[in-house]
Amino acid sequence: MNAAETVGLTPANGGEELDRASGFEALFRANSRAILGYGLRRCAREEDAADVLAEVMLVAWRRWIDVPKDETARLWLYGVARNVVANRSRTETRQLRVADRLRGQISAQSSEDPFERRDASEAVRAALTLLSDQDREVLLLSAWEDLGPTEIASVLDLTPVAVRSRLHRARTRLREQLDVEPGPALDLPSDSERADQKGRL
Amino acid sequence: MNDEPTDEIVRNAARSDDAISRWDVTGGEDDLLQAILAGDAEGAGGSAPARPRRRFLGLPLSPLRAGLALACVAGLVVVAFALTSGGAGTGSTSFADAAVRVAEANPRYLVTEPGWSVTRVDEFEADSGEIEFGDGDGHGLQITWYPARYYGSYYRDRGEVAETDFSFPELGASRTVSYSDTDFATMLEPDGAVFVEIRGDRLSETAYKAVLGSLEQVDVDAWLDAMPESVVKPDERADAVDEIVADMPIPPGVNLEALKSDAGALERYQLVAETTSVVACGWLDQWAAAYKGGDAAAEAEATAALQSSHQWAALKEIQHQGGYSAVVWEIADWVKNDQREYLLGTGVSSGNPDGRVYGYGPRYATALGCDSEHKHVIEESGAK
Repeated sequence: MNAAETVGLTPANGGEELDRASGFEALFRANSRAILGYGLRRCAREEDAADVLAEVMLVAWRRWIDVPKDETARLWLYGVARNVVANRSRTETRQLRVADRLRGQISAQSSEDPFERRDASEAVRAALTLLSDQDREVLLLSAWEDLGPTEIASVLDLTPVAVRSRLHRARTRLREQLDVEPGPALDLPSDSERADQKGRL
Repeated sequence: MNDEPTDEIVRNAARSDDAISRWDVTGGEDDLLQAILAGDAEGAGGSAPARPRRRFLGLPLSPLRAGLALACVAGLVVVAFALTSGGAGTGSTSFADAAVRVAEANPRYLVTEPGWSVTRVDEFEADSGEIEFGDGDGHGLQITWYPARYYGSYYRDRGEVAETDFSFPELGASRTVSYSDTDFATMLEPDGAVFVEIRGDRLSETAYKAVLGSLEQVDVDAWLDAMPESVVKPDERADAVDEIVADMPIPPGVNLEALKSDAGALERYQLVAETTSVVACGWLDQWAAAYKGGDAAAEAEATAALQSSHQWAALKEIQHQGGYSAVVWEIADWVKNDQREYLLGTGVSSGNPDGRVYGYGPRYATALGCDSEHKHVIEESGAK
């Protein structure tokens, strides 16, 4: 029995809702950890990632008609996650009751499996705060979410050209802050880069 | 996983997806999923007491700060502003309405220091965007504009950065902070719908002050005139389209006039992609019709025309700016290699909220956004 059925959605009481529920469940299961990771890496208190995931998935559920029904769905979710994290930073944060158990589990896992923040990591994180917001997010999506420039462009609604430019600038500034030698600066498109949501390829 | 050294450094500063995937949080995820499906989460479900807002921007790099965890590092939400044509108001008559509206909403500062020019424009929209100026010698200045409603939160966030006593009376009320001795940023108070933040790139205090001292507010025409070549101005658009297609064979029946008179695209990349799509789609449509109709000559003509795309100068020009060129070439090669079934294949999308089942395709048209793409309801079952 899948989650849609366990909550009482059956073909008998609404095929349309069942389709939506089945589609959403598949989306949730395929992307939950990726969005959780997005939140975990960006929030000071790791358990806040539970609320980030909850808010992102609630948006996806409410706006199901807008969610791409293909492999670009994760990019769409990252875009929502970015806004959710930004809003949480600007305003009073809230804890959603529906995320209580997940929050607790994250807290427990975080204690059992502490991320060892070496001095170097702290210096990197501090240096990241010195980048402009958009430059930083471009770099983080590349390094943390392993997205290519075209995918980042899709998440942030930028052009791939702008992403490359920002990526180059962000890397340069970060290296300067950390006083490390420059690496290769050329950002060539990967074979996997494909169309963004504006129809640009 | 990309192997860029800087990304590797950043990657090592946070938990990896691999590590997170091993966490045992499935129960909490299931609870959340079921709550959403059951509607229990609607209304955001009883928030716990709120915690104070956390700062997330502008911590100075110091040993003290370096010991702190990075709070939720998020940026400004880039708010897409739907630019529409028509009714440009008081602006110039020689630029597209869309461009004029951006200009009118903008404080329109230009660097007038000798040797400086606009080198890049991003997100050229009315309430958000960025212009970068450079002197050609490694020094730069970015002028970014944001929606005015975010001024307060930005101001507070920048309050964490070392403040300077710089003063730029000609720019109005402002505050300048120093990230390093060659990295200064100045926030101006909101002017209308936006506020501006200026940031130097490898500029010493003296140089930064000189460049900011040279900023001049200009009128709409002067500001748009200063835009770099990558922004295609409407009165140049017809010529630009002609130049883009100069080495492309034009399919019979394809008319480029509408493209030339459209005032939509502002960036050259977009214009190249738009123009090339019209040409490539024309040839692909001919190829598909010829294949289905058994017209070997027309099929061969289209195949050869598409193969020539590997030499089209405009595609070569933008090939490192995005993936568009690579996809056109890939499709052209599929045509050459007789991958007909794949190119003409269609897709089906079920599980849509309206209950309908849609058909998409053919695949080449969907990939390039051709007008000949079909999207139609193939099953009404369950539809409202």
